[in-house]
Amino acid sequence: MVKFRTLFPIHLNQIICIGFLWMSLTCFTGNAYAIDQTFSYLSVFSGSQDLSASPGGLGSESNYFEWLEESHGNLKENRKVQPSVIGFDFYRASGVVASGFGLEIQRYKKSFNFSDGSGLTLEALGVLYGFNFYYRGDFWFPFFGFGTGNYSTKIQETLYSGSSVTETTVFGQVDTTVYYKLGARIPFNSWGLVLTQQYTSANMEVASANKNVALGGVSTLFGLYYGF
Amino acid sequence: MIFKGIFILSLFLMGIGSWADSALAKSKNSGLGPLELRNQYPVTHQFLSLHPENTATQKKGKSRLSYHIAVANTFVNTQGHSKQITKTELQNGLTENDFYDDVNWTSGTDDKVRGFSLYLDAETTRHTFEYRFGLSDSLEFSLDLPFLSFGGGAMDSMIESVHDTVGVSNAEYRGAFRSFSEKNQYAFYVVRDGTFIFNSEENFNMVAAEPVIGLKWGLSDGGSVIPALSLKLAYKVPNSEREGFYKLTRSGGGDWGHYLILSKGYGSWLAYFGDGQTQIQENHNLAKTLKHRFMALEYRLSKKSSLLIQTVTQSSIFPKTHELRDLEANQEQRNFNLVVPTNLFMGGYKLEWNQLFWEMGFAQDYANYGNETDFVIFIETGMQW
Repeated sequence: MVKFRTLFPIHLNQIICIGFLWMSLTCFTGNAYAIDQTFSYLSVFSGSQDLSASPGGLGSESNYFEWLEESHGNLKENRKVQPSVIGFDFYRASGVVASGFGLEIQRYKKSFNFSDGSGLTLEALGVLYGFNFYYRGDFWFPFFGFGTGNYSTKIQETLYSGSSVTETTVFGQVDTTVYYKLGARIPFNSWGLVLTQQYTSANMEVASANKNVALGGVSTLFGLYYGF
Repeated sequence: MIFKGIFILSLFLMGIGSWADSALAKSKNSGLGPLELRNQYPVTHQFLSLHPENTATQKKGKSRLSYHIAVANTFVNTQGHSKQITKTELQNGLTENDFYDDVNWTSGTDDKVRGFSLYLDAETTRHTFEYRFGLSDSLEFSLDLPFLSFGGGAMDSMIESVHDTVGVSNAEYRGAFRSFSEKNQYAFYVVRDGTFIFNSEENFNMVAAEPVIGLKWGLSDGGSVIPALSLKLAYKVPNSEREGFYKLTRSGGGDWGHYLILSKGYGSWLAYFGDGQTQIQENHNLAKTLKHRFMALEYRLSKKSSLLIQTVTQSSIFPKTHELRDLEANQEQRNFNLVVPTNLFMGGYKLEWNQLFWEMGFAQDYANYGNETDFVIFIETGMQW
């Protein structure tokens, strides 16, 4: 059937810009936010994800890019990607503490080039889920979360060796993903801003090389949410 | 090891997380449960395959009897890129040669494609009569009696129309090369290293598969912080009669499996998580184990009805036969994606009405590696007393 990402193209920057404008227009006219027993957030994020960064003690076994650099020269780009993320969370709250469960769907794609002209395109779709714990302050809600999930990945290699070229497409999946994150939500009535730093260990063996590539790393994300 | 360490640490953190206790008070940890759909890929039907379940068990002396029907449409043509298998070849009858590589730098047996090649055009229906009984308040016995129908079905036109609507060509990979074949036909060809494992175009209807017995132990109902926890064990009783199309419905092996299931409630919302594995005794050149994982979110519309979404991950029924770097950069490499684990998205609805219950939903393969069903619809109904 149809690939998931084909059905839901994400123009996240536009959504964030329009959402921010909409929030600015409505935040002073909405009803007062009521603390209920159960509540939910729908969020969109974007930002930077450094695949080469150590994910805060969770362990990373990345040697795929290093292995390619030995044969094809230095990588021309850094290993930061710009993920697009949609998140959905629900919580049960009482007083100043809350606890809940969240789901995130994230996607990124980036091309990498080596000094001998070789290159590859890395495309990943991640589904992450886990527990979140909140402190509900007066002006902001700091939180901590942890969980697991999976990444589906497609890597298209074009590698030169002398006068010959080898083109390979590798599909892969990593099911042993673990993550934790720290962040805060800043509410403005039903709308709000969300900031998060996420540490993800998701090491996938690239079948063409039998080397590991890190699909997680450290991500710094910024976005908007709508609470209901 | 890292994952296990984090998991244990997480449980520990939850255990000492009494600061959150008041926030979670009186939150019930199991609802109507996740959508109970097993893997419906045609090649997997003959094996045991555990499915998502609720952590809750039948209470002592209580029974539950149900009928479950799942209709799955699957189309995989690994020869689509080279157009080696189209309507013409199928009408002439497929041979192993049709699955050979068509590149001009090899000939004879060197044309054999290492690894797996497929031509699957099937609509399968799995009927399951399921009985559950509470041996105690936390121990449940179950018996599943499945019956299988394989044929051409009727969903091809609808699926191809959906592809057209969203701009996916049925003549390319994303559309599974469906337009090269007739609609609603049945063909079941699985090739390993150039040799048929299964080759059949014989429809069959309501053929008994092998029964499955199970035990589910509710280890804990959880609390305000700790999730509910259950362990499901299942065993498929072997039937060694595997002549003709029975090869597609029975493996003849005593497969067994387990699923560890957690659930946690947050008011109207519940989250479920499961991790398990199936050991296949008679694998017939396919995988020896299947790993399963699911995550489900339930929203309780009322005490007796819920909406559900869930994602299910499963390792491939096709084992890795060669290293990718040892395969030639043509059909062999393209077919390598058949060994990659795959993901399904499911959505559905559950309803209880007095002693009766109803469940319905669908499943969609979004990884698109050719080792999962394209689309499944399912309904379960029954009564409990």
